[in-house]
Amino acid sequence: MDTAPVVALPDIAFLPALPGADIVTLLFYLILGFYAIFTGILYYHWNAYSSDKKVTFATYVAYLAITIPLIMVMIGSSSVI
Amino acid sequence: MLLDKLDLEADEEVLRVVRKHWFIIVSELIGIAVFALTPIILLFIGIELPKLLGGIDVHAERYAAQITFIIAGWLLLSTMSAFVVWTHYYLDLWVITDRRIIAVEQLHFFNRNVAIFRLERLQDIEFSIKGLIQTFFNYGTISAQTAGHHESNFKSTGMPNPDELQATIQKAMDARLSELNNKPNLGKPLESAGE
Repeated sequence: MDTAPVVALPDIAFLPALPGADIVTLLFYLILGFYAIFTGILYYHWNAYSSDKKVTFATYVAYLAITIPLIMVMIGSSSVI
Repeated sequence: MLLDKLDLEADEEVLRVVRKHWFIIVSELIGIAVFALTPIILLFIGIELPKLLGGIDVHAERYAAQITFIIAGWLLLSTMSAFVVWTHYYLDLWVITDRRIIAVEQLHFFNRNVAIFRLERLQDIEFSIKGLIQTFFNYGTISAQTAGHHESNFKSTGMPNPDELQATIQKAMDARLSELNNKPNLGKPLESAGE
């Protein structure tokens, strides 16, 4: 009777167990934090240095119109995981 | 807003506001679009290629939520990169007035360089258009030398219609110099103007 070779796996018991859902949640909050800081910086620069109010407003609208749906998708998919 | 902060002099007229050529931003945005689409293309290849080659179904639908999360996150970061490019493009500009050139260089966020050059102190204005793309799209580098207590040069790349821009600056310079020749006290500091 053939027996499969036994491979000793490295002992990783010292690593804290982190379920996939927790990793996704952690990642999501990291991205959200980065997004919030970035949005603040972007707002500051356009508010302080832009030469045209219409372009500034259009930039804010475009930025939020693209990024908020993506964040909603991330929230939706992370709640399923 | 920028023009309020520049604190233009009384009767100072803005002749032109110049930004870099559109090709500069389009080429950067194309790079970001390729970056954004990379995981979607890789995913498509990863799912479809095994099917085509060996009829193997990888059952990607089991990981639909994870894949959606990663792609949405990736697209979010790509969108933010695109807005960085747009911000740098739009906030990086030259304001040419009838008295000076204000060169605003937005290198990065929190890395901004504003230089003001008075037209009467400008000496040589040069432009160069190098290569096929610059010639085809008519953009190039403009550089100028100023004379003063400390001689300095300024240079800006990717400027549209550099020959026209050079002519505009030259015209404004000539007009300013003739104005100063007619009213010699105009360009002097207040204490010496009264002497």
